[in-house]
Amino acid sequence: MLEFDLTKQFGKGETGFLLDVKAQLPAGKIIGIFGPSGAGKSSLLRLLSGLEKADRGFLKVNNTIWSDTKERLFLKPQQRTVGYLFQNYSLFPNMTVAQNLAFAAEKNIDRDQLKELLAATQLTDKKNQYPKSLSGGEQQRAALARALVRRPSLLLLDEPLAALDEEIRQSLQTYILALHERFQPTTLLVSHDRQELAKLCDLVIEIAAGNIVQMGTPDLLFGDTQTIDLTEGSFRVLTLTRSENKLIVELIAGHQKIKIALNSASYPTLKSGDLIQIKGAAFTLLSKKINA
Amino acid sequence: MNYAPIILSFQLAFVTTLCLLLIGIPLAYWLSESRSPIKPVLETIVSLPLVLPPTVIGFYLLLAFSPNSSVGYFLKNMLGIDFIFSFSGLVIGSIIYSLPFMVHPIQAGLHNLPKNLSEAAYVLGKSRWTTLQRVLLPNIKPALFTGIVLSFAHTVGEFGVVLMIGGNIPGQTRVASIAIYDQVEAMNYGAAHQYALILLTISFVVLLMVYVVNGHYFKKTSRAGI
Repeated sequence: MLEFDLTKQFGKGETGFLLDVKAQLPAGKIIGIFGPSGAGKSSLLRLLSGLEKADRGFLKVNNTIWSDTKERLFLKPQQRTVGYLFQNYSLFPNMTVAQNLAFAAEKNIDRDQLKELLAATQLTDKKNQYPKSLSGGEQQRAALARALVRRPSLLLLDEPLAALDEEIRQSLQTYILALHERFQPTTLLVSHDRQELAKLCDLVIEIAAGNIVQMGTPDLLFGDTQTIDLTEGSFRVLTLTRSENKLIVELIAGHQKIKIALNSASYPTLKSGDLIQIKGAAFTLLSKKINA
Repeated sequence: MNYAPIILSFQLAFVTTLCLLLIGIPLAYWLSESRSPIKPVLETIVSLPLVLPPTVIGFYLLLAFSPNSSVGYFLKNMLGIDFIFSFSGLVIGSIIYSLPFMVHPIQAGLHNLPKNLSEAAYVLGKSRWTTLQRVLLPNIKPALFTGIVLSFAHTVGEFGVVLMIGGNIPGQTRVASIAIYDQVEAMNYGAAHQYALILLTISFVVLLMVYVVNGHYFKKTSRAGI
């Protein structure tokens, strides 16, 4: 289980934004993250990897706390078992492919494992080449193999295929699926490509303006198979939070848990457990989860 | 012709460059990574020798190392070290005087590397020291080379600082630049010309080497798309 509730202010002024994210995600799955540019997708990965420190909150991976501001606990990136794949090939230019992998393993080199990873990414015959002589796709395969050397419990893929052409993307998607099947790390994949997310991910998260606004299966988020018209019928209120003029309501609609924002003045007496009719009221959909 | 001043200049430049490598690399690394509020202050201190007359640095070092000052008193009476009019004093002065020539190229080299390189090493469990040693420094070889060569050449050519701290003691502190001054004062232009020509040739060759080597490296890396 990957569980986090993290808040961090990135930057200041117009370019700054507040990332405030909370989720419980199943272990061993591929979880996609999408949303507009600057929404906080990469920033979330940086918080999870320990490359950035949260202002508040905690991060728990497979029942181990990696950071908790209340306890003043913070594991450095070096202390976390994370595999991180950056968008712009982060292979070390001064090392060959094999040396890149061996550098990652270093203290406990398992030659068989390195051979297996090179074979799985079809780089065995390129192992003595330097990154500059590899194509973009080969570099990303090598970086993926390197990220898996330490058997990470959390694999973070930050738009790893964005800079590649379609054919190579397709082939790398297959590698990602095969390697995930083989090593089963909990994987977070940032991508703008909905088809890619639908193909690779078990679960998808949408981030907008620093918040998780939707979470569900790719079918639910990208398909229209389970569309529910919230303006028809009544729905049971699970929780509600009032702020100045906004009312955040979590309710059950069909077999989905849905979070919406309403005008507080329109529902002055609404409380948990009530049935709510949204007909005619203006609302904003914040998130939805299946299997409520 | 007495070659002792030339040899002394090279000895001084060699020792200074070696010390500057040990000081300059960690300092440049810290400056390239740090977001500390004291960073601009430290950057200013490192760059001061570029704008200050060497005699100013030499004057303050002379005051600091003088037995009348508390630092000089402590060094001389407690540790038995006297930096005034000695080779070790010249080394200290040269380190301060040539510090920006070592730190700036290395800092720029580190700054220009993609940030992902060090971050990729950190998430692979590597310490900052291992990352610097195995990933960052091997990828800024031209900057390191430039720092080494410029520091060496700058130390060979210094005059004001060494004159203030070291004076003009033959075999101990009389380096080539001071020997030229000496010969000119004695109206011995022939000898001055010999020293000057040697320094000019060395400086030209050293700078040419920097441009040729770095030009060759950049051509190679740009062809490879790095």
